[in-house]
Amino acid sequence: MADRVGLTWHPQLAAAILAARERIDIVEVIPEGTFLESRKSQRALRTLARAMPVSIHGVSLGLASTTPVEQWRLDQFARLVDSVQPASWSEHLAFVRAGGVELGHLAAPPRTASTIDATAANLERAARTVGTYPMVENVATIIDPPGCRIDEQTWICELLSTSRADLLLDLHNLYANARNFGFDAAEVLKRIPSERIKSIHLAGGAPVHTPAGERWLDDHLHDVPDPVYRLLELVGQLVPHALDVVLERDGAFPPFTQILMQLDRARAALTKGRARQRLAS
Amino acid sequence: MSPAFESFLARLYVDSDERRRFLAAPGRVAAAAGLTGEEIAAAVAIDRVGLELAAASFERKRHHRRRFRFGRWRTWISSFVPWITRLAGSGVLEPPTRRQP
Repeated sequence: MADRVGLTWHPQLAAAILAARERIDIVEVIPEGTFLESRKSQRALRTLARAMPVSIHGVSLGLASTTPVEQWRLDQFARLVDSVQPASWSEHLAFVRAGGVELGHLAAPPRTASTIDATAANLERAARTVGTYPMVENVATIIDPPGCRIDEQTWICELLSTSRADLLLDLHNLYANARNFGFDAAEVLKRIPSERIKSIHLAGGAPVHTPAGERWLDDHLHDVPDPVYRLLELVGQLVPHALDVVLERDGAFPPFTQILMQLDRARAALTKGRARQRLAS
Repeated sequence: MSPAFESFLARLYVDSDERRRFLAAPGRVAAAAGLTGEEIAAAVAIDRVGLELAAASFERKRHHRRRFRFGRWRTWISSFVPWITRLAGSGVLEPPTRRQP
């Protein structure tokens, strides 16, 4: 079993990533803003994908919406995936626009049967156009999405049973939502079908204080908190196959050695979980 | 939930005036948006603290994106500077001199 551990590609980190290639098994690239639009950038990404495994991680499709995803957006992804031939591609379980309003980021959908069906339909469209299903990522939310009839774990499990798309499980998003809305992240993790978890995200965040209390913001600007490593250990114990684990860091970059130490810590947590899995079997 | 409810939420998340009107009279504003009875009830019961935090978070992301876009535009323009300088040195960009009769 060969788990791969890596991080998100950023222009500021490019030189350091290439210099530390022996310690980075995979890089994840957000294509919006550069790689989707520019052929020159696509050629550069293709070159990178020949040198090391690359995963493409979209943020703009808005698959978890009752509105069908626009075909031209899927066509863009199809061209990119065809050109780069990445190890995998993924998107978020979020809506990002509605009624002509662009949110500029990921909003958790109301968790209902109708949003499960609509998301599954969008995933079918995506798979038909791109040629493969994207992995779908659970999102962090700082607002309890209005109109929910079911909890997050049920919504995700129902979606996985309706669609053939597998799960990119973001452990920090799970941790943030558990903190914000008072559930046990480890218990939720145990309920998700482990054979459908194909990839993992790690990240950091910070508390946001309000007169009504505190919420945890998934900002990708801080180091991975300890409880998230413990969740990764549990993932290593539960998931029977090899995983890709990606550390997301979008700014406030620490010295690169500190980022590499977090990758090492992720490897160690996975190894510990894998050891427990072997003992149990 | 309907596309109309999603659109309503999107407006609440990004439009501070709409949000202010809604928080002053949630039921009336939700009904005026053409939502179903169930959707109106969901809107009225909205997580108000979360709404303000989410709106602020979305605004920060949009602001960051605008800055990023401007940065790219500036980079694109600046990539032409050496060419323009070279052309200027070669005299191509000089204004045409009027031919003497």
